[in-house]
Parts: sequence; C-alpha cells; structure tokens
Amino acid sequence: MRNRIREQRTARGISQREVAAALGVSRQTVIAIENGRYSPSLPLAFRIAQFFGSTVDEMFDASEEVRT
Amino acid sequence: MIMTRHPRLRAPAVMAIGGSVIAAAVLIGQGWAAAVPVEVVTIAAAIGYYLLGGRGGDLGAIIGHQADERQESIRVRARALAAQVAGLAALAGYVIELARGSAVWPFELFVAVLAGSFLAGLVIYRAGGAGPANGPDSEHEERSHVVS
Repeated sequence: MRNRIREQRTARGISQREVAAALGVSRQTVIAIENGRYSPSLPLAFRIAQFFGSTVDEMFDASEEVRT
Repeated sequence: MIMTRHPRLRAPAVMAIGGSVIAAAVLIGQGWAAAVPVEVVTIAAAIGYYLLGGRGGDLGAIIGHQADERQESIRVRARALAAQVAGLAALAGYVIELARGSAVWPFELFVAVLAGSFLAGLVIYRAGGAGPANGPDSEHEERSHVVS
C-alpha cells in the first residue's frame, strides 16, 4: 500500500527512530511501512495519521500498490 | 510479576523450566550421568535465548517478547509454520512406524493433539471475528443494505 509517511516525515525533519518511538513500534516496522512492505493495522494507521496531523485517507492510498 | 516486568525473561524461563523437566525425566529414567548434560544444554540455551532477546532487530524483539504488531505477525506465522512442519513430521513418523510394525500410539497422540488444538483454535478465535447475524445491530445493518 502506497503511503506518504516518508514524505511527511522528511518534510518535518523527523527521523525514523523518532516516529517509531512516538508510535510505539520498532524502527524496522516504520521502514517496512514506508517501503510498502507492511500494511499497518487500522489502529496503527490512525496513530500514524494522528501523529502527522492528517487523516488515514490522506496518509494511505489503497488504490496504489507499491511496485517493488 | 517478574515476567510482566521483564518480558525478556519469559522465553528463557520457559525454556529453562521445560528443559529441567526433561532433565528430571532423564534423571529418573537413566540416572545422573545422562541428566547432567541435558541440564547443562538447557541452561546454555536459556542464556543464549536471553542474550538474543536483548539484541536489536526483529529477532531480538520477538524472542525478547517486546514485539510490535508486525513482529508479532512474523512470530505467529513462524509458529504456524513450525506447527505444520511438526505435524508433517509426526505424520511421516506414523507412516514409517506403521510400516515397520512398531508402536504408533505416540504419533497418533501427537497428531490427535495437533488436530484437536487446531479445531479448538478455530472455535476460540472465531469469537473475535464477525458477530452473530441476529445481534442488536443486525436490523441497522439490514436497513443500511437497503439504503445502499
């Protein structure tokens, strides 16, 4: 699932470690989500959206699959 | 109490207790000489597991019982794979022992426990799935379907 986490994170100058700490997940999980290798659960998706002051709809785009 | 405060101790403690039970069984059946190596290997494995649990990365988090949801899903899938392989191995053992004309009850017991726990899992975890069709929200759901 394509998402805008990396884009939002780099725009704010936040590290993956800081995002991970704020969301209560590991840095590896943040990396996996950013790369589209892992689709977060709904509660985590809401936490991500809340953290970036956005909505789940804006952060995630289910219609676009990441091409690896 | 200690386990909840120090989740990293959980897996090594289970391993140490399980290994000690096996060592006790070996002690009863075969004496000290056979039991001591089993206990030594158990303690070494428990220490190794504890050290692994302190490492960073997915493996450390999973073994140290500090996994997040992605790592937890990895653990669940790994356990499922282990159970499948154990089931297949038991089935293979059953067939081989059957052909040799040996006692097959240990394999029968293992396969029965595996099948029973699988069925129990279906019953238990089904409760976390869709609710009953005639629940309090069913009328609302039906209306929603009509509207949409």
